[in-house]
Amino acid sequence: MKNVLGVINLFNENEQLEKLTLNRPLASVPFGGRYRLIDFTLSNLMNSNVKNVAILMNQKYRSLMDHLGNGKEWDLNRKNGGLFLLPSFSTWDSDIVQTDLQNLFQHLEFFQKAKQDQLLVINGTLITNIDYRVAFQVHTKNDADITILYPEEKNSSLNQQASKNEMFFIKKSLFLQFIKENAFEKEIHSLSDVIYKFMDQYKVIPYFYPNEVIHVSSIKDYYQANMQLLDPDYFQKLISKPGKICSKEKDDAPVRYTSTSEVMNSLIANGCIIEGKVEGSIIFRGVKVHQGASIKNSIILQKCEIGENAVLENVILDKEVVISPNQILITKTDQPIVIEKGAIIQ
Amino acid sequence: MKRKEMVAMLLAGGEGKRLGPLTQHIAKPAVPFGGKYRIIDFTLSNCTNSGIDTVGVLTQYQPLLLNSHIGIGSPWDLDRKDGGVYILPPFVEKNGGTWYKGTANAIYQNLTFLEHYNPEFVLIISGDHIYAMNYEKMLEFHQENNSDVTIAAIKVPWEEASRFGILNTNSMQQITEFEEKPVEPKNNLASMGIYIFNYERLKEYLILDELDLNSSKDFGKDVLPRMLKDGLRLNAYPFEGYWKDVGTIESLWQANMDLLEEKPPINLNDHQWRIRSVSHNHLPQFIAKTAKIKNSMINEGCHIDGEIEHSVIFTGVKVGKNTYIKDSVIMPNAKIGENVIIHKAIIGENAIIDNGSFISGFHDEVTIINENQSNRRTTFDFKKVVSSKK
Repeated sequence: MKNVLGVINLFNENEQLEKLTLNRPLASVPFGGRYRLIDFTLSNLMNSNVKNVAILMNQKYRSLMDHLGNGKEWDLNRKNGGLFLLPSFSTWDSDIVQTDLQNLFQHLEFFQKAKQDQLLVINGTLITNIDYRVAFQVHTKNDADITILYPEEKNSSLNQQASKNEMFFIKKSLFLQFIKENAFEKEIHSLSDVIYKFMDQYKVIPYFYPNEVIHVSSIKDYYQANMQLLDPDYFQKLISKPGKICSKEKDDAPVRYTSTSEVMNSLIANGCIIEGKVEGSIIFRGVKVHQGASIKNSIILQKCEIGENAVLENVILDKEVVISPNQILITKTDQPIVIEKGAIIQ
Repeated sequence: MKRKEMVAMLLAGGEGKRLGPLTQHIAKPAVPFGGKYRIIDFTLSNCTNSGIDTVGVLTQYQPLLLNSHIGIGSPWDLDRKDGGVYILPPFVEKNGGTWYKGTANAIYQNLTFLEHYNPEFVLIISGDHIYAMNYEKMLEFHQENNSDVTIAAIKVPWEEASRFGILNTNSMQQITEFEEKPVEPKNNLASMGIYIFNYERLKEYLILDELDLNSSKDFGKDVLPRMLKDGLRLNAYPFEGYWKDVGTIESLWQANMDLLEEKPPINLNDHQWRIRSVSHNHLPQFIAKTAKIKNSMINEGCHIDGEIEHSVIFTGVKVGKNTYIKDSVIMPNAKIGENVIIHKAIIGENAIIDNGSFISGFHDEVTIINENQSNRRTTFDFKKVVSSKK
């Protein structure tokens, strides 16, 4: 995969997770206690031996940049190649770019200079564990211009699926041509639009892969995708096969349970201090659960603090939310409420 | 090379004989501690947190794991452009070479390294103590007192004083006498084995000591007494806080248990003084429906089906159903089966404890199960005894 440049496309994130994507792209939404969605794509690229990765970033990217750092966690802090960030920006004669094509156009020089002849373009928000190397073999063996990757079980509606689970190999020459010719066409809004418009004129082949793909497009999806991880065998497999999913390392201490803690059927990340009751929940790094507090079927993101005797059920707390003592937050539907980052509930 | 104000030399070559099976394949500073750390993480983190960016780590005994743990020092921010961490094993030269013969000889053999940075001060520490200490404050004390050497010292219980190197001082905290493990101590101020030397003085006395054929090449026994005799200014830097030598099975176990106190003596969640270590991207821990956890510390990657009380559980440990673990330390990746009882024990790395095992100390002693071993070979199977009691 030396000849492949990974391109993670964070434009066209149409699906929004309400308050969770208020200040961050979908790709950097926290998941599974210590991950963020983009970790899956970055780790898959690393495990497939892709050494050069460019990320197309559309505004709101501070949280993402913080998470990525120099790409070290995914072995992308290389002297030659490694991680390239391609943010959207405005120039003296243009406003800030609106589409991925326009953004690619602004960064055209980067792609022209890249040594790789093949690109692997991926939507960076898919939750999946996949080795791209088999697909790449198919792509090169068939000398295809474009190879689109589809999950096996849902191969009926190709176009619809493809626009959702965007993953494809494309020859760089064709990629450059597409950008130059279509960046400012009015009726074309994205790179995948171009591909579907010109599909018939080039050698485009499908590749069906057996791995499961989870696409999070609503709070309900997000909640379910997290809760599914409470099956430890499933989570273990998702995170370790075929390759290991890596995330940013923190220096958090092991979880501290006190004599009053009562925990069952939950995932708890490091740095937490648990004095209260936790059941059927996912607790991210650095959360404090005070004595007498009770958390059930909830997702608590990093550094939240749950006050004494507070009761939470079926809720999602974004990072750094403080729940004052004795507060009660319960939703009974399958649509959990989301408390936005840094809120203080009192 | 840019001159450094202070360079740290970390002695990490100790075998740790009294830790028995735990140091069969690894050096003492590499022994796991506190749920996710290794012993040396505490001193390395102290260096980083004290603003020291150049650390020489002197290794000798079983260095493989220690070397790979330290790597280029990035967990401690010691992968620096100028300075950083250096692993310094014994080496050979044109006219031969020897193992490190003592603490002083180890530093003597690395004078070339020190000369390279030509620091004003050298901090000498050892990698087998658990404590959090700001060496910068100690350096300030050293400079304020115009000392040649400053030795960090802690008050130990009187009844234990005869196990330590005792410092007798005058009212100015100036050291007047050394007593190595005195039978009748006059004082309970013990040396912590943490020294700051003026580099020029250190160099001078290391060379003198090397020439002395009767010397055992040890700082505490030879170099420091010689300096005192020659009328140099040696000061004791009083340290108040937690400091634990984890050189025995008992003290290693106790220091782990200390972390479970309501107000632990070292706050691992203190973001102003983080203890850093290598982490390996494990899953968050999974606590199953059948699990019960009280007053314990558990690290990432664990899967707990059983009951844990007052114990420290390291990375990637699996604990089966109906298993009860109390007052114990379970080291990384150990697999504990179902219906097991473990009480007051240290279970080594990668150990496998079969279903139905019973492991407990006799007469209040800590039981130890070797790393990489299945319990069948090392302890009795008390399954029947336990079930009849139930």
